[in-house]
Amino acid sequence: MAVGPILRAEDLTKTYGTGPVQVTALAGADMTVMLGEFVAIMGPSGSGKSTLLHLLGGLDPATSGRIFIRGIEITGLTDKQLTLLRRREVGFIFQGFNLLPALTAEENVMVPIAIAGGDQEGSRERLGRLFSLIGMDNRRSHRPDQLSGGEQQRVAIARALITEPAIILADEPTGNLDRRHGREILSLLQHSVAEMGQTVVMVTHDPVAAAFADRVIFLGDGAIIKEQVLEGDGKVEAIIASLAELGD
Amino acid sequence: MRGTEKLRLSSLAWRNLATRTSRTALTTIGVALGVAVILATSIANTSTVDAFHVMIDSITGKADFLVNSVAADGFAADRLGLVSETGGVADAVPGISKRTNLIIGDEEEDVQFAGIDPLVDRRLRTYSVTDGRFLRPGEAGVLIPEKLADDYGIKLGDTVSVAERGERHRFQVVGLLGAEGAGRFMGGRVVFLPLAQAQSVFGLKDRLNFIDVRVEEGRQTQAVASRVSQRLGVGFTVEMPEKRAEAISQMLRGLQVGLSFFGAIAIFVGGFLVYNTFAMVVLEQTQELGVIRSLGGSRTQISAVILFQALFVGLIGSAIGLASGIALARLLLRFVSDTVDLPIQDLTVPFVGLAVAIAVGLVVTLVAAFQPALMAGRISPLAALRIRARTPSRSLGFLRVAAALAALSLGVYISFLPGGPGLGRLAPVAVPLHAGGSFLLLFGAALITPTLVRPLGRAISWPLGLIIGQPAKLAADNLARHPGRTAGTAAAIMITLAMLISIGGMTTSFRLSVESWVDESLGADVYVSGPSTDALYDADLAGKMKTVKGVDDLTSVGYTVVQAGESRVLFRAIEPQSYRRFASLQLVQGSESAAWRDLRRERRVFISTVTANSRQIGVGDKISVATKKGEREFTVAGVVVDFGGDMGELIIGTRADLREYFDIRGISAFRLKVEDSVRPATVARRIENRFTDMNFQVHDVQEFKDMADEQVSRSFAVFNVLILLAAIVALISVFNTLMMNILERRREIGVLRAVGATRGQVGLITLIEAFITGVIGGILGLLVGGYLAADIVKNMSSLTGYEIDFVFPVETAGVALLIGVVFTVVAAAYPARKAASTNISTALQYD
Repeated sequence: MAVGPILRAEDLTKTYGTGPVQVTALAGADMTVMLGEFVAIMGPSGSGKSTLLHLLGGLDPATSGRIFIRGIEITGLTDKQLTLLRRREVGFIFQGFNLLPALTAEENVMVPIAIAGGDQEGSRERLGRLFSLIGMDNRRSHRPDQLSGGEQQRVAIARALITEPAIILADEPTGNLDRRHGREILSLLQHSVAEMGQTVVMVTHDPVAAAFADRVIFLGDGAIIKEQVLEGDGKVEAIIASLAELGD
Repeated sequence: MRGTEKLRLSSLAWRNLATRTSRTALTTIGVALGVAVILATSIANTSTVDAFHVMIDSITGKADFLVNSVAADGFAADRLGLVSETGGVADAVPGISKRTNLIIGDEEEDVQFAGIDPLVDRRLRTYSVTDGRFLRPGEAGVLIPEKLADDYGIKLGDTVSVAERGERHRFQVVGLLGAEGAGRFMGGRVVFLPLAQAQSVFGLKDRLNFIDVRVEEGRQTQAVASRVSQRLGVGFTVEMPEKRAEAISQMLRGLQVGLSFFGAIAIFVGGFLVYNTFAMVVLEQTQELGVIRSLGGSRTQISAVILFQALFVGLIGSAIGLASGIALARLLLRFVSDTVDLPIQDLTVPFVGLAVAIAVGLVVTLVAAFQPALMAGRISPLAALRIRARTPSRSLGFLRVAAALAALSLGVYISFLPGGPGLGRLAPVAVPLHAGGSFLLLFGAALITPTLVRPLGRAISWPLGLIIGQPAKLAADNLARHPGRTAGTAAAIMITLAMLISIGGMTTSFRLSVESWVDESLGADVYVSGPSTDALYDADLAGKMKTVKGVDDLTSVGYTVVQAGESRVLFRAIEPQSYRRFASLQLVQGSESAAWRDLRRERRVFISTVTANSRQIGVGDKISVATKKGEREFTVAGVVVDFGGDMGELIIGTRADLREYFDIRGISAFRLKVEDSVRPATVARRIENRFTDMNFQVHDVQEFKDMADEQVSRSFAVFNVLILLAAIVALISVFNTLMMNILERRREIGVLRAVGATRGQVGLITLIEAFITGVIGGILGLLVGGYLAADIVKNMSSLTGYEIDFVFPVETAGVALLIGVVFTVVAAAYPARKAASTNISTALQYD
C-alpha cells in the first residue's frame, strides 16, 4: 500500500431539494486524509459534517465535486459499484450502534464478511483477535439486547475493522454513551490507528472526543473553515479555543 | 454461528422470523389455511368421484352392461330367459331395486333395497359375509352391511321392517356384510333380500326391474348389448357402467366448480395476507436493512433476506397446511356426503392435488412477498442513520390507479359476458373466466382503496366530529394525511366482507327463489308422498284422501324415472286440470294459458330450466324418451322454473301419457288444499293417523318450506366452511395491517404524548381511526360484495340452468359489516395500547 492520501475530496457540494426550498448542505469542501491518520470533523449543527461523512462513505451521492478512495474516484459510480466499494474499503460506526438484533455479537461482527461472501473460516483468527482487542472474549455469543451501550459500540468497532477497510467513518460514535464508555471507545479507535495502521474519520461535536484525533477539520455553513493539527498537551483546550474563535 | 457454523443471509432471515414469533405464526397460519383449503377441496373432489366409482363397481360387480326397464313398474320376469339365451351372454342375473325406508324399531333410514336371486347373484357380485350367512331363496331374511348395523345397533337375528302399500313386512337379519364388494353399495346404505320377497313387498309379482349381464370372454360387449336390446324390443334400456360414471361426473361438475372456486378465493386471500405481512416486515426492518446496505449489502441481497423469510413461511405454512388439509377434507366430505346423498368415508389424496397445494403455498407466498422484497432493495443505506428512514413509498401513484381501473373495467366487462353455453367458443372456460373476473374485481377494488380513503374518511368523520369532538377531528386528519396506511386495513376488511356477502347472497337468493317456487308453483297446503319419489299407490287412494276432514281440494302426481337421450330424468306426471288450480307456473318461455292448453295434447311436456339448459332446447323443440312403446318424441310446451327433480333435471307431463306410454296407473304423491278454517298442520296429522301403514311422508306447507330451506343450506354448507376459513385469513390481514399502521406512526404518537396527550387520549384517537377505517372497508365491502354476489348468482343460474333472482343478503351484510367494524376496533386495541405505552423519547426517535 502506497503511503500518501488514502481519501481525497475536491470541491464537494451537496444540495437538497430544488427551487425556493433548496438547501445547500455542502458548498465546495476540499479535504485530504492520509493513510493511518485519525481525523475529527467538527462544526455546529447544520454545518454539513454528517453530510460530508455520508458522501465520503458513498452512502449519498454528491451534487458536484470528486471523491477518491485509494486513488479511485467514487463519485459517478453506480449504486452497485458503490455497494462493492463500501463492502471492501469503508467501515461504518454509527451513533446508534446499529447491530442486528437477531444476531449474536460474534455474528454481527461477521456480517460484512458474510455479505461479501468472504472466507468466514479464514476470518476466524482475526475475529478472535478483534474480540480480545475490544475486551469481550466472554460475551461473544450475547445478543445486542444483552449488552450495554458501550459493549454494543465496541462490537460495532470490531464489525467495522473485520474487513480491514481503507477507512473507517464514525458518526458521533460516543454520542449515546456516558463519559467512561465514550473514552473506552475513543481509545479503541486510537489504538486501531496507532497499532493497526487504520485510517479513521470521525464526526463529533465533543472537544474531548475530538482531542483523541491527530487533526481536526472545522466546518461552517457547508465549507471547511479551518484545520488544526493536534500535538502535545492541552489538545482539548486548543480545540475549545478554535471553536470559540469560529463562533460556535 | 456458534462454533464453526457459517453466517448466511438465509440464517439472518430465519432469525428475524424467529424473533417475531406471533407475527410469523399468524402469517404461517394464513398460508397453512390457504394450502389446507386447496388440498382439502382437491381431496374432496377426488374422493367424491371415487366414492361414486366404488359404488358403481360394488353393485355392477363383473357385469358388462345392465338392462333396465323404462318405467318404475319393471318388466315381466320371463324376459330373463330371452336375455340369457342371447348369443354371447355368459351370465344374466335378475334383480329388483327400490329406494325406501328401512324401519328399525322407532327409527327409519332411507336405504336402497336390492332384491337378488341368492342362487346366481354371486356369479357377478362379491358378498363378504362377516357374521351369519348368505341369503336363501324365498326366505324372509335380509343381509345388511356391518356399518348400517352398527349405526342402528342391529344384531344378527334382529327383526327390521319395511312399510309398503299399506302393509308392514318384517325381515330377520341373517347376515352382516363387510365393507367390500356389494357391502359398499350406496356407501353401506343398502339392504339385500331374496328376489321373491322383493317382488311381493314392492308389488312387482313376476316382474323384475333390472338384469345385469356378463359377456362371454372374447365377445364385443357393444355387439352383445345391441343384440340383447334388439331381442327385448321396446320398453327397455341397455346401459354401460361407463355411461353411469360419465353421468355422475357431469352431475358432480357444479359441486367441483364451486369447490375449486372457493379454493382459489382462499389462495387470493392468503396471498393478500402474505403481501401485507411482508410489507410490514420491510417497514419494521427498514433500519436493519439499511445497516446491511451500509455494510456493503447489495440490493439483491436485501431483497433476498425478505424472500428467504417468505420461503421459510411458505415451506412451514405448506407443511402445516398439508396436515390440516387432510383433516379439513374429512370435514368437507361430511357436508359433501349430504349434498350428493352418498356417505363418503374413504379419503383419496390425489398426488396432483398434493403437488399443486405445495406449489401454490410456495409460489403464492414468494410472489406476494416479491413487491415488498423489491421495496426493501430500494432502502437507502442512510436508513441505518435514521435519515430518510421511511420506507420507499408504498403507493404506486398513477400506475396503481391505472392498474386498478384496468382491473375493475375488465372485471366488470367479464361480469357482463354470458356464462356457460351462451359464450359460444369460450363456453368450456366459462367458469375460470368468470372466476378470473371476480378476482380482477377484488384486486382492482383493493388497488383503488387508497384513493377512496380520503373522501370516504372525511364523510364518515364529519358526523363523528359532531359527537365526539376533537379526538375525532385528529383521527380524521391522520387518515387524510396518510391514506396509504389506512388502505391496507380497509382493503382487508373489504375482502372479508365481499366474501361473506357473496356466499350470503348466493344462499339467500337460492333460498328465496326456492321459497317463491314452493308458494307459486306448488301452491299446496299439505304434501303427501311415499318414502321414495317413484313409490306407487293405488289410484283410488285419492278418493279416500279427499274424504279426510278439512281437505278442500286435491291433485295427484305420478313419478317415474325415464331414459331421455343419454341420461335418466325424473318424469312428473300431473293432472293438468286439477294441478292448475294449485299452481301458477313460473314460465320462462311462452304464455301460461297457451302452455296449459298445449300440455293437454298428447306427448306434450314442460321441462325445467335446468333440463332446457343442459340440453339446449326450448319451447317447440322435441325431447326423445324411451317408453314402453319404444323411443318416442315429446314436444316441449313450456320451460318452467322448478327446483324439484334430480339435480334440477325434470320433465313434467300428464298422467294420461304416463298411463299410455309407461303403463303406470298408480300415484306417487298428493297435493292438498285445506279448508280456510283449518290449519294445514291439523290436516297433515289427520292424514298420518288415518293411513298409518302407508309409509307416507306428510308435510304441511311450512314443514315443506323448512325442508327445502334445509336442503339449500346443506347444499351450501361446504362453501360456507371454505368462506369462513378465508374470512379468518382476511381478518389476520386486518390485524397485521393495523399493527403496521401503528408502527409506522410511533413518532407521531410520541409527539402527541410529548405535547401532553394522555395515554387514554392517544388510545382513543387510534380507536376512532380504526373505527373509521372499519367503516370505509365496510362500505367498500358492501359495494364489491353486492356486485360479486349478483355476478355469482347470475353465473350460477346460467351454468346450472336454475332460474335464480338475485336478492341482496341484507341480514348477512349487516352481520358482516358489524363483525368487520367491531373486529377492526377490537384488533386495534392491542397495538393502540402498545403505541400509547411506548416510551416517549424512544418513540420520538422514529421517523
